[in-house]
Amino acid sequence: MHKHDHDHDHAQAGLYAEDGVIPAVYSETRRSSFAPATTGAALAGRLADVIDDVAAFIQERGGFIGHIKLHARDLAVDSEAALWLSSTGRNVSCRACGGWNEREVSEAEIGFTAIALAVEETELASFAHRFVFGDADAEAHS
Amino acid sequence: MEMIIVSGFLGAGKTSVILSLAHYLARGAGDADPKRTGPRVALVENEIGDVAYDESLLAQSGFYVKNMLSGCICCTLNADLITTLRDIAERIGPAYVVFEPTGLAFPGRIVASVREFVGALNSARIIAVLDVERFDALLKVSPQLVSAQLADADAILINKADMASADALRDIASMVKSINARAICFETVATDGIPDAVWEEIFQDA
Repeated sequence: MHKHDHDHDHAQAGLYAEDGVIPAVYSETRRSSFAPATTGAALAGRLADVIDDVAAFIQERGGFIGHIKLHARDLAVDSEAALWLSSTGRNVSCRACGGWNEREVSEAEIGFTAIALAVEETELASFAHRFVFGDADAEAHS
Repeated sequence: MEMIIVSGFLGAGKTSVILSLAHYLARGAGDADPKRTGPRVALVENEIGDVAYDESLLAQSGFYVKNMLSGCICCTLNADLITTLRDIAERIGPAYVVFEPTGLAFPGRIVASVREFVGALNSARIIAVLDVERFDALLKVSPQLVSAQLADADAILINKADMASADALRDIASMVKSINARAICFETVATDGIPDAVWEEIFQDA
């Protein structure tokens, strides 16, 4: 989520962003539990569908997708499995390591960022939060 | 220490380009002193939001990565970048530092800023990455930013070239030349890797 109190010096603002263009940014990281455990491949498929849903939400409102990215990390003690998904509104590209697809994942840290132009940030945040994390078993992480 | 800024709008393929570039530089290629000892390349990321997506992806390939999560693009991190570059120069001393700014950054302004304050910097060059699939749309949505990202570049990678027809690529190349006739241009598919011949030409041209 875009949390910022804007109480500091804005002298560097000229380095970034089109004049007058303020993107909507939703970014959040949480731990999610899965009972029963799910395979990494199945979870990747579900998360890719979520990315498509968020992309469709932005485009149906006439918004322009900057990017949508999701990083998931298996929290099992002996695991280094991780997943990276990204999209600009067409295909969802997928990278994985540490045997992600084959692992049984019972708990993962999921980080999600969506950046879009011409949509309301609060609306984007509300929709994306609900679709990515739901309300049931997520524990606030950061 | 030489600085390379890999710029381009969100989703253009900058991180895939950096992976290819970092592997090329780590093998001892490029035009910095080949007899140098110690790490040859350090990566600096500036990501919008709270999630270190690109950092984790690049670090997983074994590279040193310093991230400066911005959280907010309207007042980002020039001072932090200068501090980070000085720190990397002192503690690590790589031959190259590759910086990936956010896709909303004006790279020319960043170069002007860091050149003034980072004494260890021998040179700074900009490689712009252009997404052929979204080029026309981006020029409508954010013309000032997209044009500046191209105009400031020393080299331009016309990326995702496999997603466009030959005619479309020719039109885009013509448009790019009209914005920046000075830069050398290449068609790339960064997710498939970028041939060493491209990097050799870019570094030869410096």
